[in-house]
Amino acid sequence: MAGFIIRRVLNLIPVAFVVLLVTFSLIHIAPGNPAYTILGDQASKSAVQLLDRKMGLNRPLVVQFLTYLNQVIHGNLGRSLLDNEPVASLIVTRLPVTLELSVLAIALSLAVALPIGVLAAYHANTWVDSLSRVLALIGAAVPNFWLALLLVYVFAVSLRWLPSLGWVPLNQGVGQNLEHLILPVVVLALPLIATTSRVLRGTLIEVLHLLYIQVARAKGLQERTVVLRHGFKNALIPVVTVVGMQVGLLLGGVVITESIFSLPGMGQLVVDAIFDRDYMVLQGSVLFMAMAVLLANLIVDLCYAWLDPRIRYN
Amino acid sequence: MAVSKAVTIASSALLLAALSSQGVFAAHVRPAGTSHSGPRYGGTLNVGVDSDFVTLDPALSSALIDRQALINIFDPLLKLSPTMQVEPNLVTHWTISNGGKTYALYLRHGVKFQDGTPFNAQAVVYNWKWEMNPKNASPRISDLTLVKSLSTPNPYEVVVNLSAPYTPFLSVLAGRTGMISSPTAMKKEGKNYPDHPVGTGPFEVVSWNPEGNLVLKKNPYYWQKGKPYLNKVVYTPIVEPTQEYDALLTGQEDLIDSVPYQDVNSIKSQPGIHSEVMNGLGTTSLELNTTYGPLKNYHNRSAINYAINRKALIDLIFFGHTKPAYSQYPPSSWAYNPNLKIPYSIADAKKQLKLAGDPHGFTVTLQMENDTTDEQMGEAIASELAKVGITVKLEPLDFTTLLTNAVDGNYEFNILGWSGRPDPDQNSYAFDTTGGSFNFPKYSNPEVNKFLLQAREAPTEAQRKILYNDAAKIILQQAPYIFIAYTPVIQAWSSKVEGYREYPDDLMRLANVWLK
Repeated sequence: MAGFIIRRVLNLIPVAFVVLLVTFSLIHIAPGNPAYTILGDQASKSAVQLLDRKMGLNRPLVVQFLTYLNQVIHGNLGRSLLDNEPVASLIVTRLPVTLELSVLAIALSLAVALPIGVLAAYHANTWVDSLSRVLALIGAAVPNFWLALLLVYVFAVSLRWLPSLGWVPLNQGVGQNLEHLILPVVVLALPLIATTSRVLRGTLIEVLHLLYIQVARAKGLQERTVVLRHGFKNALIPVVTVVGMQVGLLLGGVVITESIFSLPGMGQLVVDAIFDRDYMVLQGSVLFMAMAVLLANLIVDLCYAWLDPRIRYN
Repeated sequence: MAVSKAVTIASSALLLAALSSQGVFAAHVRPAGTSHSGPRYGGTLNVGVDSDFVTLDPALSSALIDRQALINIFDPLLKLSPTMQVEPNLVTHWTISNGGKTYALYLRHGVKFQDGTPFNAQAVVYNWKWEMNPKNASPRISDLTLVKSLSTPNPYEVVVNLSAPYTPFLSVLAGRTGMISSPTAMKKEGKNYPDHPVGTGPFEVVSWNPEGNLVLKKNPYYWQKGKPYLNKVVYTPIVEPTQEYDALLTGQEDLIDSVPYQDVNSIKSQPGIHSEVMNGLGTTSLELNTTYGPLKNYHNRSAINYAINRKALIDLIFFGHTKPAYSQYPPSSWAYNPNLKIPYSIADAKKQLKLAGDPHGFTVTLQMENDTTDEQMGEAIASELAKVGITVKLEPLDFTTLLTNAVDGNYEFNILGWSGRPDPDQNSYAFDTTGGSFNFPKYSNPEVNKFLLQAREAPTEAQRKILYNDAAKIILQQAPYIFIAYTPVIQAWSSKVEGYREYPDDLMRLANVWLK
């Protein structure tokens, strides 16, 4: 087990390298220069050159990349080109928002998707199943920006039940904090609910046809115990895989959702960094998010062993 | 989404000096119906703004949005009236001598910075010398390039010697270059100064969270006795226009800096909300590269100028809430000439194509921001030009790329607005003269150069107006730019906000505002 974890963590290194290389190349291929963002376009050529030199942007790209790589290896993500803040501290201030949003979205999606999936599987090909299929289709098909605006219109503008946007930190009131997160969390959770519930339904139907389920029934176990204890747990592995993959999807959705709801999280940080050509902030945050996705997947893999004791990592 | 946003972002990158001024307008702005009860003290005003603040240091700010906060933290040396005329503020009077090259500025006595230190001539010179030092990378340096020397004959007088006459200099002093920071605070905070700015304005900074909210409180040292009325101002950046509008409707915000065009009519029927549509300073326009491809030929540019139905575009994009544009000088400017226009005429457009030797039209690529409104406008332009045989290929780009292509001359034809400035020079000189820093069409015409240079040096507004009009006629005819519409300013506020007045420069001045 320990060996497995170490190997997986070591695997992060080449992935991190590729992520850095791709991010660095993409943002440098895009036209534009942070010096213009700082100085304005009326800046003289000489002022731009002076600033380029100060920021080290006049050096060959390979040199810039290797310098940056060397910094990152030493645990230093550098400083924002725009306001000189350390990238690590920018990430730390933005992280709680995105983390809370993502954790709540996954929690909500599981809380809704698991019961729906079980019901749909147990009542496969009845109206319950059809209803859950329609709901899943809607959840998967509705674009989240449109859903966000629709929910705001209904729950904030018309009914006035919830705030339409903004963020209150947890330490300024849990109630207010949650109130501001309800709509964004629902927007993020809906597509997750759709996928998770369909995957669970599919696997559970298969599992419920397996022999040991019939044995369990033959033993005279209660239907409830058969489905939930014997069926459900064994149908969970593909579900866990899907949830792990959704972490990546979720971080993509967070970018749009945070911007619509004016939530000061990682998504907004990345979007601003792209527009301002703040290379340092962009590279640092993309690297961080990529690592977060990989770690989430590692945790998922470890969950397999817990769910199915037959799985061993050697 | 709306053009207002495109233009705001456009200009935050296109930056420039900014106009701005202080809202120290007194009693006559009090709205009708409130005369029986005077201003009330106290309370917090919640203000929605359409993007995040970038920096709060007027010496370093290049984003348009920063000025919304700066105008209330810093009182500029001169202020702008609601008709965008320069008026005394921290500079009470001035003299211009030596053929327009020497400005003597006389400062108001008894003004203090928010840290209690005195505002004086030394402070002004300290700020400007800091901004003129290339090491500090201040965008203000372009406003101050003509400054040859600065001196302080006494603590309340600054003498500025310019290397050439520059009439718009006073207008520059009403913008960020005229916003003076406390030298004590600048020295004490060093690199952290942009997070803890100290000015002379009605409100001082309490906190600027990474969450984006900016909190200001009343400045106890404010030189206008009895003002401001509000205790606190909280700015919330809301990048999604519909969300900003919804935040006003739900009462989360009391005042917002822009209203989506499609909501302007419906907002009028909202109880408890006021809104005003006003001529702004900016223009929505097309830039045509005059050195490359079919648009090198001026007849082809002229054909486009005739073939564009401005009225239809305004109905489509602005929902009719503005006027067609034919020059860089909008109706809010004293240089505006309502008689300058060209007709919408397919026949004339075809005639121009024939003169150009391209009777069957040609193909051009139009670059624009990848934003709903700009793409919609691009499609509308393409379908109009198709009527005369011009094929337009659309190329949506992110804003930074669009702008970089424009700067590098790497385009044929683009949609790039200009947020506008109060002095006509600031809307024309850098755009129209040979080698000008905003002359992305690479247009060059000795007569235009001559008129615009003379306008910089002409002492009276009347003389300048004639010169700007002469230049505008040539620009309209030669079409390095095609002006589509003057960008309107549309703000909205709750009816509990009193004493607020909208300005053509879009800046929300809060010194006179109180809450019912």
